[in-house]
Order: sequence, then structure tokens, then C-alpha cells
Amino acid sequence: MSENRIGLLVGTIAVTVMVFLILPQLILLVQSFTAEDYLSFPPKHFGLRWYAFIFGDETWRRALSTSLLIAVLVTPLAVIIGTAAAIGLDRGPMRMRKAMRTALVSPMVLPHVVLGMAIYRVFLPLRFDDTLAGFMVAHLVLCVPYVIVTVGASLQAMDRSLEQAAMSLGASLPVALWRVVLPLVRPGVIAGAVFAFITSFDEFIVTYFLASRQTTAPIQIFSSLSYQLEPSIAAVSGLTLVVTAALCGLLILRGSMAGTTQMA
Amino acid sequence: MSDKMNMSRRTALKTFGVAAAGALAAPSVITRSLAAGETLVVYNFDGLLGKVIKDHWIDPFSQTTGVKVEVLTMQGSSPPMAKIKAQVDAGRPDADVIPMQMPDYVFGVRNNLFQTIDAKDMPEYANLYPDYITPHGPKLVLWSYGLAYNTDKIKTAPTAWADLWDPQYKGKAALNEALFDQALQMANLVAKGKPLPVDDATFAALTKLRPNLATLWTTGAQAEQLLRTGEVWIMPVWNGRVYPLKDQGVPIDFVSPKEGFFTRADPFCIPRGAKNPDLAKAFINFSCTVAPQQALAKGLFYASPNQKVVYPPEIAKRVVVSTREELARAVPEDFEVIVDNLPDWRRRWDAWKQS
Amino acid sequence: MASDASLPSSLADPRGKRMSLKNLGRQGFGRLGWWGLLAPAMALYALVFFMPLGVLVGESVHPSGAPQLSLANYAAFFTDGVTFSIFARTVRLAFFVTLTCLVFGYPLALFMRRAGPVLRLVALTIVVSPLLTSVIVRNVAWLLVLGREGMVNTLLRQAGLIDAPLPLLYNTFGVVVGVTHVYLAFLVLPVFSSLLAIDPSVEQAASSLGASRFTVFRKVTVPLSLPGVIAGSTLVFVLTMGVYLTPVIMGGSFVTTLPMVMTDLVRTQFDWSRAAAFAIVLLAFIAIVMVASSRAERRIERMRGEL
Repeated sequence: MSENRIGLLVGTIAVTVMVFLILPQLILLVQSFTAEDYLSFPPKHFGLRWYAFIFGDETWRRALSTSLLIAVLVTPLAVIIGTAAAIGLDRGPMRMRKAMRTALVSPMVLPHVVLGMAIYRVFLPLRFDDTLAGFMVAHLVLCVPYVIVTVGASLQAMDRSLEQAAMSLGASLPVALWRVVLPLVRPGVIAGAVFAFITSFDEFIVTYFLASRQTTAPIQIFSSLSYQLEPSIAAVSGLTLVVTAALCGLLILRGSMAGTTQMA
Repeated sequence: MSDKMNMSRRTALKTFGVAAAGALAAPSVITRSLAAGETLVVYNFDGLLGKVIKDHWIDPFSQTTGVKVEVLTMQGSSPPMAKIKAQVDAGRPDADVIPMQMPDYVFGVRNNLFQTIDAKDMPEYANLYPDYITPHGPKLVLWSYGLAYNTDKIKTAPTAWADLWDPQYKGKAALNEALFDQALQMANLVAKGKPLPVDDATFAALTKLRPNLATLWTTGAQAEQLLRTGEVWIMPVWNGRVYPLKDQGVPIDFVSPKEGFFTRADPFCIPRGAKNPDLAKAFINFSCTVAPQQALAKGLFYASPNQKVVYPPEIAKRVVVSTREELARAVPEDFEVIVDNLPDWRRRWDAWKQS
Repeated sequence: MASDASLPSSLADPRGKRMSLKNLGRQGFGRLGWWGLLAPAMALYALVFFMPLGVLVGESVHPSGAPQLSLANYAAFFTDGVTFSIFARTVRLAFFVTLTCLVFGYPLALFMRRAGPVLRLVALTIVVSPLLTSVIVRNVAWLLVLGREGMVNTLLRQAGLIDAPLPLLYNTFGVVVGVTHVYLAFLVLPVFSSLLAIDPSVEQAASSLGASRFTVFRKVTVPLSLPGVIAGSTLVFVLTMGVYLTPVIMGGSFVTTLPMVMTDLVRTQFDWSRAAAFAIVLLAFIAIVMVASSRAERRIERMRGEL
């Protein structure tokens, strides 16, 4: 009886928390369909006006396509670099492993304000600021840690004997790596790719330090905070939400359900 | 006959064109040949102010001179000083013209970021009030800082900064965190009748105001959201933020408080190492002329330093500083003192917020 | 560990492809391969992470560009009368957020562990969904929920529960809500992972020995999930130490965090050097928290080893 009560309590808290988590995103989605001039909730009239606006407006279109381009290029690079590093960390000598891992994961916890300031100082004399390549390199260093963490988690959970079996049967190391290890850590790779994509697409502070001519979607959103909070930002967010959710869904489906359990 | 008429019309148009070009003054004419293929890079404000300046300053300049102008938008309408300093130090500023806010300007001068502009390169200087001419460029966008209030909720219009302290506005007022130095001077005006010095009495006055403060805001969009939703009824804000909203039907109005209002203007400067200093001067000179200045007053109610600008009566009231007599009511601000004290004031302000 | 053999990449393998695993561990080239795998990441970090941080450290010890070394900026952190107290408040805020995430995140992770595959996927999507929207837009949505005329206050007023609107925004509460909302994922995912790793038979064994479900939870489930709890809490705590936009928008700037002070130093006081010094102090603090957390994790693993 008290056991049921615990279960009920856990269930109630869980459902409440999920409502809390999803609420703002739902509000945003509803707002993105407003036909009014300003953000208000609930909107009195609905329409696709603001979606039409962001696709028709030159600035928004450029900002969105820049962000998309960067994220699409950064994601595979981050996955390759991160996966290689995660495997390297997993197999390296014990002593070095801990220190290396801490070093490689640290961009995750470094306040972006600090990193943005610092990267700008290095990029400026190299004329690397305000270039797409510069943004990409900066985003890479923010995305790679996520891949290292997710792939690392998959590697830890992996049964090493399969790989050993493959090699004892005469498979070369690269073959064993490609045919056995990679498929086994695929859930981690997929989760890493999703995080890398989101991180790059949403990155604001570091890019803001680097950008002057170029704009990205988050910078454009920030600029609306300084001037006027238009429903266009809700439409952009609605779009982002749907695109990334679809992307995640696709990757997760391809990577099988197991992928979802390895996200941490 | 008809040929002749055509000819004369063409001649007339040509003369008109020359006259228009003449208004742009010598430098632009001289540099025009130099300018072939050159691009002038101008930092612009964002939002409505940016749009007015693009439509009435930048585009006409570009059309009459044939200079291609690239516009870089300053997020939050304030120049990224840290970046500009790093760029000037590295010898390659990305813009030729940068509008400054006064504290930024003082910082820039102290760090030797700007070129001096010789008055003989700027024919239009002859028409400006001399106090709006700095060695590094003219101060152009004269915005005024007074009280905005919600006309639905507040029936008798406030007349003074002191009205912010009225207990009936408990939780209904707000201050601008980004211009906290102005908030400090405002509190001083109310507490002791003069804007400086900032001392314990200043913060004591602010502490008395604290129960009325719903929030502090940092950007114009936040201020607008607060006023629009009725979350805040009364707050200090600049005139260009209020009147366009009022014209959209938002129940708000603007008053210039009797203790004195604040007015600031933004110097348009050329960074050291700029690629096209001559084009930059031509653009700044053009911006000072009557037509662009009048357009700004009409579009956003910002006053002009140009003595030739005439404001229609309905706009005169809204630009606040339409006459010299009005200007005399403004609170005098010494930006050297402000910039010197900013770090100290900031610490005390942060400490006050914590208390 | 037997499985600790190095795995070289093909590029780093100069000696043919068929080598027995046994040889690998002993050969120097295994180590070379290990470095080969790490090399791209290290090169990237050198340019975009370590070098910039080095520049920052250099800048922090030269107050206002002075040529001689000075620790004045570091001294200012502790003695200027306000920075240290803002730092302490940032720590307090991070602590609140971590606690809130734990209280609400742990039950959610438990729920997800027991849920079927579909419900689990739904829950995971919901947990990650705040990360899919920009921080500004997310905060603006919260303004509409928590504002004086917002959803919550309107509902409560209509229900007759309150007369005057509750102050849900522009204070610490508002910031905790905004930050918890996005960082909850960083707690739930590791906890969920470590809960999944628990072998159900251990719990079954405990209950078959007569332990009540609550006792099993307290004595078996919670201790076994501790590594995830520690990892998640540390991440949330450390990430909260770096928040900037949420306190500005949802805290009405009344809640000041250290990153806000740093940003202001750069933007309006143009004091890079002092901002850099404050950043270094913040980083040092974060490093200490991380070390302490990994110590705690190791101690738990060791205790488990002894069991």
C-alpha cells in the first residue's frame, strides 16, 4: 500500500515535471502561428504570417541558411574527431586517460562568455574572426565534448569480447574497428551527432564575439531582443524545434531504440 | 521646339543634379573618382532608428555619389567597443564610420581610437551648433530621456522624476540597468536637486524607490514589452521608444520631468586605420545636412544639431530639444567624470542591487 | 584491466595489418595509434581552446595593459567589496538550481526507468526539448507564463486562490525556474543511465530477502545510482555558474551572476584584463568542483568494489 503510494508519488512528480518541461515549447509553437503584430498569449488570430515572413525576409533567410550550413558541416566533423578521441581515450594508458578526458571535456563547462572573449583575441590577428571557417572551428570545440561523452558512454557499456573475437579470427584492427566497434557504439555516435547539431545551430555567445558582417539565426534572435520582440522569433524557434526534432527522430529510428538509452 | 524643350529640361535636371551634389560638398566630389569601386562601410543602429538612417542618410548618399555603402548592424545599437579597440590595435577596423555613445566616445578618445576630423573638410559644420562638434565628428542623434507612463492606468500625468517614488506605483515602476549612471543622476536630482556627486544619499534614495521597482531592464525591446503588457506603468525611457508606440495605439505618453530631462547625442566617428577616411567624411558631412536630419526628426523625433532644421509644431513638442531654451533645461552631463567614475558606481550599484 | 590494449588507427600502422591482439599491448606503436586517434582533437583544442585561455591568463596579470606583472585584478575579486559577494550568490544560485534539478529530476529518471519503450522515448524527447530552442526565445515564453499578467497568475486568480498576482518573475525564483528548465536534461540523462545499469536481479534479491520496496530503493537503488547523481549534479552546478542571459531576462537584472559582471567589464568598462582575471578565478573554482566530484565518484566505486 505504501509502496503503491511511492509509485504514485513518483508518477505524479514525473508527469508534472514533463508538463513543466514542455510548456514553454508548446507556447512557442502556438505563438509562432499568431497572425498578430506582437507576442501575446493566447493569440487572438492565427495564421502562417510569421513563417511567411522569415522565409521572405532576406536577413532571416540568410541568417537561417548560414546557421544551417555551419551546423551541417560541423556535425560530421565533430562526430569524426570526437569518436576517434573517445576510442583513443578508451584504449589509452590508464594514467593519462583521466587527465586527457578532463581536458577534452572541459569546453562543456567553460562559461561561453569567457571562451568567446578568449577565442576572439586569438582569431582577430589571424583574420579568422567573422569567417564561416572561424565560426565552424569555434563550434567544433564546443561540439566535440558532447560526442566524446556520448561515445565514451557507449564504449564503456560495450562488450569488448566481440572485438577481441573478431580479431582473433584474423580481422585487421581497422576492420575490427569499422565492422565491430563502430556499429556497437552507434547509439553513442548518433546521440553525439544530435547534440553536436543542436549545439552548433543554437550557439550564440561565442559566435556573437566573432561575428561582424556574418549573422546566424541566434544572433538575429538576440538582435530582436534588443529592438523588438516580434513573433518572428517564435516562428524561427518553431521551425528549429520541428527540424531538429525530425532530425533526432530520424537518427534515433535508424540507430534503433537502444540509441536513446545511451544519451547520457 | 520640342527638342529645345527637352534640352532645357535636361539642362535643368543636370543643374539640379549639380546643385544636389554641391550639397554633398567638396570632399565627396573630389573623392568621387577615387571612390570608383570602393565600398564605404558604416556601422548602423538596429531597429527603427537603423531603418530611418538607412533610408534617409545612407541610401540617398549612395545614390547621389555613386559610392557603394555596406551597412554593419550594431546589436543593441551600441558599438562593440572591445572589438573595435582590438581591431584598431590590429590596424584593421572593419568599418569607416561608427556612431558612438558618449561614454564609448570618451573611452575611444582616451585610447586613441579615432581620427581627428578637420572642420575644413566638413562644410556643413558651418550650420551646426558648435557645442555639437567634437574633434572626432559631429554629435548627431539627439535623444531625450524622460518619463514614459501608461495613460490607461495613470490618469493624472506625472510631472517630475519624483513621481516615480509615489507609493501608489508599488511594483509598477522600472529602471534601465544599461544606463544605470543616468538612474543614479536621476535619483540625485530628486534627493538633492543636482545630478552629482553619487554618494550614500543617492543609494538611500534608490533604496526608497526599491519597493516600486518591478524589474530592471537592459534593452529597448524589454522596455517596450513591459509597457505594452501593462506589467510596468511608469519608467524612465527615451522619447524615440515611446512615440512610435503611442502612434500604434499603445496607451502611453512621454513627459519631460520638471527637475530637468537628460539628453544625449551620438558622435559619428572615423576609426584610426579606416580604409576610406575621405568617403567617411563625405558621408558624415552629408548626414549633417538638413534633409537627413529632418527625416530623423520626423521618423523618430530625435532632434538635430543643425540650426537650419525647422520642426513642424507637432514634431517640435516630441523632439523635446527643439529650441535652445529647451536645451537649457537639460541636465548637464560631464562624460569625463562619468567615465572616470563608472567602475566605482558600477560596484556600488551592484552592491545596492544585492541589498 | 585485460581490455586495456591500445587500438591503433590504420594510418598509424606501419607494420602490416594482421597483428595479434597479444602483441599490440606491448608494441610501442599501439601507443602511437592511441595518439593518432587523439591527435585531431588535440590540434583543434590547441588552437581554439588552450591558446585562447593562455592569452586570457596573460592578459589577466597585466592590469590595463601595463607591462609589469601584477595580481591586482585577482586581489580585486576578493577585496573590491562586491565581486566576491556576487560570486557567493552565484554559487548559491547554482546550489538552488542543482537541488531543484535533483528533487524533480530523480523521480523523472525513476519513472523513465520503469516506463515502456514508447513512453520512455516520449519522456526523453520532452527532457531534451528545451535544448532545442534558443535561450532567448525560451525565456520570452517563460515571461508569458510567469508574468504578473501571465498564465499562472491569471489561472490562480480565476480560481480565486489569490487576490494579488504572485511575484514569480524578476527574482531568484524566476531565474531558478528558467535555468532548471534547460539544465534538467543534464541531470536526468546521467541518472537515468546509471539507473538502467542497475541489474534488476540485485533489487529482486533484496526484496526476496524481505526488504520492503522503500528499503530496497533506499539501500540498493539510490546507492547504485549515485555515480549518475554525482555526475549530473556536478554538470548542472558547473553550468549554472556560467549563466548569463537567463538572469538578465528572467531575473530582471536583480539577480547578478559572475558572468554578468564579466560581460559588463568588457562591454561598458572596457576592462578586459579584469574580466579575464575574474574568468580565471571562476575557472579555477569550476576545476575544484570537478576534481572534488570525480574524487567522490571514485570513492563510491571503491566502496562498491569492497562490497
